[in-house]
Amino acid sequence: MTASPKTLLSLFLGLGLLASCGGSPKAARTASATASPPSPPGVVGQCGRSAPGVGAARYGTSRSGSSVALALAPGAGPEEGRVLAYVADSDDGALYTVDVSSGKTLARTKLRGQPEQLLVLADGRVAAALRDKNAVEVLEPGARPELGLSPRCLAAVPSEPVGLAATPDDKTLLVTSGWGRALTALDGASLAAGRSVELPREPRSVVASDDGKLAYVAHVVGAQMSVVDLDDPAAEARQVDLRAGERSGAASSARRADKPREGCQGFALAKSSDGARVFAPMALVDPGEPARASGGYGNPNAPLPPEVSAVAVVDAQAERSLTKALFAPSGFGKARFLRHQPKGDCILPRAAAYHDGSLYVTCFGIDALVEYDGKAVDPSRFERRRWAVGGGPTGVALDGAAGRAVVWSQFDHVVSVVPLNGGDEPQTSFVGDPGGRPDLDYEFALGRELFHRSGDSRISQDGRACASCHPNGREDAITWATPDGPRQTPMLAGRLDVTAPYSWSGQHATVPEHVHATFQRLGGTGLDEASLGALLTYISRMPAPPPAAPPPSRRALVERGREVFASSEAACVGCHGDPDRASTDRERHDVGSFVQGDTQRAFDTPSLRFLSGTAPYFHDGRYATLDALLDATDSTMGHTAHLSKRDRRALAAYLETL
Amino acid sequence: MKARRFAPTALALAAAALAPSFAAAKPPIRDIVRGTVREPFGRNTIREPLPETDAIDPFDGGPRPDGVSEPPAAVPRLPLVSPPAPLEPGRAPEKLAWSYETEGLRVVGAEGLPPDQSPQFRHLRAVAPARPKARKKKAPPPAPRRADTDTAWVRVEGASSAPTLVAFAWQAPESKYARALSMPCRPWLEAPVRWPLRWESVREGEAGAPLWQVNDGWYDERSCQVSLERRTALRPAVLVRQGQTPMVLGARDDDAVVFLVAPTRTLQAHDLGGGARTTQGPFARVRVPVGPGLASTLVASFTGASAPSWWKRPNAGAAAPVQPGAEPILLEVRVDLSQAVAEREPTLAIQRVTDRPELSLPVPPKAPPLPQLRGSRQGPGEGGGQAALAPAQAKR
Repeated sequence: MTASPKTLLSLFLGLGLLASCGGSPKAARTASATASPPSPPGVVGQCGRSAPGVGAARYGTSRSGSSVALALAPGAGPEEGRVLAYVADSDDGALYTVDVSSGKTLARTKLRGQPEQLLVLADGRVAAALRDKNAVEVLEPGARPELGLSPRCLAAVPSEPVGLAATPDDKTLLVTSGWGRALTALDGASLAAGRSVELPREPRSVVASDDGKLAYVAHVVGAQMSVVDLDDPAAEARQVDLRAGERSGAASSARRADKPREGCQGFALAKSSDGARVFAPMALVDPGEPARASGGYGNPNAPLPPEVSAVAVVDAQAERSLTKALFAPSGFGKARFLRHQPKGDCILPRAAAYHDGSLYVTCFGIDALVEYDGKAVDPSRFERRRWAVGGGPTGVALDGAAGRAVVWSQFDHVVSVVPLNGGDEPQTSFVGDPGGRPDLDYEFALGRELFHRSGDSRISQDGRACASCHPNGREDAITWATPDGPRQTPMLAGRLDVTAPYSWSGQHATVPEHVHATFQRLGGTGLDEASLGALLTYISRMPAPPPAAPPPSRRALVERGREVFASSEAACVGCHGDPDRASTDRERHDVGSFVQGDTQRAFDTPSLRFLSGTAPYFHDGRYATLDALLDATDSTMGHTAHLSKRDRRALAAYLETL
Repeated sequence: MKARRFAPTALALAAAALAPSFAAAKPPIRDIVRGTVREPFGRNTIREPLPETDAIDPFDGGPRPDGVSEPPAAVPRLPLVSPPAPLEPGRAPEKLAWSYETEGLRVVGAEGLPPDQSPQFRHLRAVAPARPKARKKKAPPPAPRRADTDTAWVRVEGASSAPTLVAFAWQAPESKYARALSMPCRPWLEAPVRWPLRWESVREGEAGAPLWQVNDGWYDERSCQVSLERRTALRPAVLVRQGQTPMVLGARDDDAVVFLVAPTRTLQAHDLGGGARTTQGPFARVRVPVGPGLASTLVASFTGASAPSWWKRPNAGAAAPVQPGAEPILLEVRVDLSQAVAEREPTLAIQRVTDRPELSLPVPPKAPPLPQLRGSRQGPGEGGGQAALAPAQAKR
């Protein structure tokens, strides 16, 4: 296992910001007054507890992060303690303390960035992954919940930390970095950086094995789960294929070769109580046959919708998915499936937790907590119950002792307490200061809601949401069959401002025009003007990946790459010249990329912005890596054959910084 | 575009100003802190929201799946047992009772007649090699026989006592079961040529419990007759019922689980290693391997025509349609069987979906009791072929 330059790309990014943030004046005075050991490299502040044993403690056995985490506030007796929910409000950049029983917001703790996940550590401290600051912040609870938490330290991690987990011995804090494509092991006490392991694209949730030797990592795209050996410093991440073949028809035993579906929406991960199974909720995708023109996106004649919910069950020890077949129901089951799944299917899973044989998954789009049978081969076909919760449920925490689930819904800013043992409805309460919730931009909030809304016939006929193909406003790494030929999903976040015209063929001059055409291809009836305006507002302002500057060790290489890129011999700048305009000339060119199914030969010059995180490349996704692209496009798209190996690496390194 | 901001107090006003259907279509979130009912933030301006029932209930008020997950202890290992090993070719006992029909099995010649009444059979017999009596009369030497032309083909199929699947015992028995076998009939052979057979049936046992009967015997090409050597009666577990009728039965050994399934409209099976074996007949027989790291899924649908007490029918093979065609589907069943490497026992997850959970089905006449075997060896269930195996006896 190596800490690759790529994964360390932005390790130290933002340290200046972090240092400037500092702690509160009171905390600074406290730190200066006590003789603390020097902070490890990459850590600002002292991460240990200043008042051990004071305040709320960890509650439950979960060591996996979520946007909501439970803690137990001390009471007069053990049974009198209050269960608290810490909520990561990424809109407000704050951590809220909520009394689970009453639903009352007790405190608001301002964080130094936008939190994605929280994790209560063994000694009661709370770790928060700040995705926009490339750091993990550690806080400690006050003596009373109403006092909130006090900041302790910040630890730099690769770009865009999104997932947290602790090993069973609590000695290691695991952090996944979405844009940085890394798993970083931090010391559980000091948060000193340990190893950083390179991962495939878009890692998200992480859980540790029961023996603490392995880490399992979900990936938003690629239908895969990574397994990292935590004990072997040289081991690379291993991949578990989560794709599943579709089976249909009345054959007594389907013997035809399965065509595995692709996958997407792998945000969540959960582990069974005995650690034998790891659950990966996702959406299985049939993008159609790229070489054949389709009526929309994917194959409209397929027996199942292009995107259906699935939960891959991974045999933790065998590192193999047990869920390899997706059965197309027949008879009234099929009718029911087709009639209801597009509306009620959980195709945007976001968080998961396991308890007592049941898997609980929160779902965007339908805004629900769904309970699945955790003993099934495909739990998504064994739905037991579901509960309506607030919009945008990003996290779930289970209180097994009390038989309840606590769900945090970011879009609606509500906490829902779901009784798991009874038939009562969830108790929902708004989270915010007693004086009122912070105002949110109306258009942005509505646009976000619409962007993630599945089962809305205005957007698509088969239930797909905008976020189905553009998770987090990015792209699904899938090449779809379209009326124009194969088309790889483009990234939206941070890319739309100066990249008109839109679509691979540059057919649409404006974003509204392109959105309208997209709705038509999806079979949606379209949005009214106000809703469309809100959607466009969100699309234009959806958070882009955090900036990632190259580490000092690579700066010379990147600079050389910049020179190569700008050189007349390479001829890159002819089409990709202006970085301020997202490195696109906004013209169509024929670079010999025509393939079967294409209806035209010239394509709009794609933006190079955020290129490193948008593989595969070309309109049909033919190149899995930048290196493969540079190798194959000499003389048809610039010139690279004359470059030395170092210059080729330098060019790729520069492109990855765009 | 000018960004608007609004406070909670503006929500009600905004909602009221929008489409009249809004308030009724979108149930608000109950705020248990303030004891009030409020619209959720950011969703108040959805003018055409989906009805909440559509968005939240995938079953639209219709039948919800009835899911049952079996804990490891309840996985039907016992009294489920596997049948004994099949007979081996060439080891037929000397003394056996031969006939055209034995328990649960019969031999049918052309036009549905017993072989000895078939014209073709008589023809072959007429030209058959002379028997000792004939040799005394110094008959002329018979013409050479050719296996391809001097052979009558007969069907070995289940008799009317219970739905039966038949197989060559020695030939991958788990995958070659069929409603009937087509067997050569060569009366002119000088010596018997006997093939081991296995035929299985599902019928009603004691106290109405289903009984899985596995019979092992022989087919003789020379006499065109069958003989029963041993009979093993097993009690499969009822995994899925429709009303009082068992629809899916299961039996397990160390390596596999055998599902016995009522006649289906559709049946699909899948397992990780590709070892699932499925046979459709008067009932379906699906064998899936089981063990650490393995998983399999069985999905079946049933129609009203196939659902009635198929396993009680005296002539199920003829009466129950194998592919009920356009009959409306009454019941859908999914069975997931899995065992992670770290798990000691496999787990069954069973789901049944029906819109008529208590459907009353006609009860056909009870099947006749099984005859006692005489002059033949008994299977592991010593002391009467009809008795089911006790768990202790069943372990091999």
